[in-house]
Amino acid sequence: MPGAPLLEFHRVSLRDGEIPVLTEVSLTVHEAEIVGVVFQHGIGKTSLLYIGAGLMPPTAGEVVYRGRRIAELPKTPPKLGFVFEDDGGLLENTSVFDNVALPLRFHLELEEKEVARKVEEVLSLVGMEEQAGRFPWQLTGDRQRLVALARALVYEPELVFVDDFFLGADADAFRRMQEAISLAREAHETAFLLVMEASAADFGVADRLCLVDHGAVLELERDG
Amino acid sequence: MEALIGIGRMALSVWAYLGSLLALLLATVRSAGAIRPRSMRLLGRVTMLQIFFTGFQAVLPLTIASVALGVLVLSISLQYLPVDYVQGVASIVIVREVVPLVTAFLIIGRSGTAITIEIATMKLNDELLALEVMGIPFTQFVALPRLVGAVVAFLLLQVYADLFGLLGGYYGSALVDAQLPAYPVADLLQGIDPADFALACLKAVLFGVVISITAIQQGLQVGRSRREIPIVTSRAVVRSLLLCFLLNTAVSVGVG
Repeated sequence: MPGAPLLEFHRVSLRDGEIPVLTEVSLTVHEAEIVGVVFQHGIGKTSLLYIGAGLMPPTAGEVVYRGRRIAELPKTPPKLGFVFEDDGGLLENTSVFDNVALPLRFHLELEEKEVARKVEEVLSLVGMEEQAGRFPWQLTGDRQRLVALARALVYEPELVFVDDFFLGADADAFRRMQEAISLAREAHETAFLLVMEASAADFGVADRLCLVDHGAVLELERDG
Repeated sequence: MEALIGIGRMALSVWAYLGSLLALLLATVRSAGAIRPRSMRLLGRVTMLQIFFTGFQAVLPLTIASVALGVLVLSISLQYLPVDYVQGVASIVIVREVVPLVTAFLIIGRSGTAITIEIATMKLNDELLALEVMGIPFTQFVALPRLVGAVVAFLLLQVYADLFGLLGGYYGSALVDAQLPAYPVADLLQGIDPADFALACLKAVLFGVVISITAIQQGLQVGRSRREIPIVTSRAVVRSLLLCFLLNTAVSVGVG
């Protein structure tokens, strides 16, 4: 069951010049909770996640992580993971294995054998263990996003943002993503905030689905 | 009046640009102090790759360019100057002036452009944001290895180019014109003034810093479109060239 509040958006607004991108969005993600945010018109999806992860400041409102403003959250050890849209934000000139190993090698003093074990484990969680030696540009977009999910999960963050994973994803990638998210939540109590377009709203793994229309949260619905 | 205002604006923008370069350089150097032992191995590997690529990419064109320039400088010197003067000319012109600039041209063309394009692409592909989320500082993981790689590779390439410029010039000029006066090759090498070599090394360090920081800074300037990549790349090339020319003159005239 979801626990204490982890990430809270308090009346977050964003404007791009005269255009309102997000209007007073208030939303809470709890510990070990999977929240799906569906955007009726596809505007503001990525911005919501960037603001939530502290990568972009909102025009108004604030984001709080465990009671602390997101901008003040220490960067190390990383508590957040992010699967970017399109190609996941993987380092293009680095192999799949090295991409996933990167946060471990940077933050932890592990033997290479231990790094390899953890990387293989998380790659098999997303069904990408056979692609370890390939480069991201040799994979399709949905496979790259699966690797990005593996990279986000390898250091066991508390919350992972997933930006429009389902765009152009085939049924197999879709299923692997669902399984990996469920298993990560089970194993490490990882919370997820997923954004998607309305066409992908039947994504079954979310505990809650929020509908954002014209920049504002219009509907909040709890499954089961 | 308008012309004066225009000049003033330009001066301010140049000042702001140099300030941004300096800020990036300081942040990058400062990040070296924050390297934790556990990241050392990874960063060391990334830096070695940068040294290898920067150095390796420029070896062949630098060999050709340094031999060609060595032949040119030594054969003209031997035509118009007494043989005793040639050592001094080789030391000043080849080692101190020409080789650092030629090395700079080639590193700007091969590695500077590669750095700008790589960083611009990383930015457009969200790779830099991904690093930020993972708590991996850009300055430490991306900028610092490129800065160190460029400086170390520049120094190594410069020594290499000095050797090829002098020896290639010596043997090449004899091949080109058999009528030129003969002298022992040892005299040429022994004639290199350590002060000229030290000044060339100082230039190598400064040029390496300028080329890498300019390339990194321009790579970060892309906004949302891949169309911007050629724009920032050509801007990085022109600015690196201008800064290297200015620094070269300042060091040669001011220190030399």
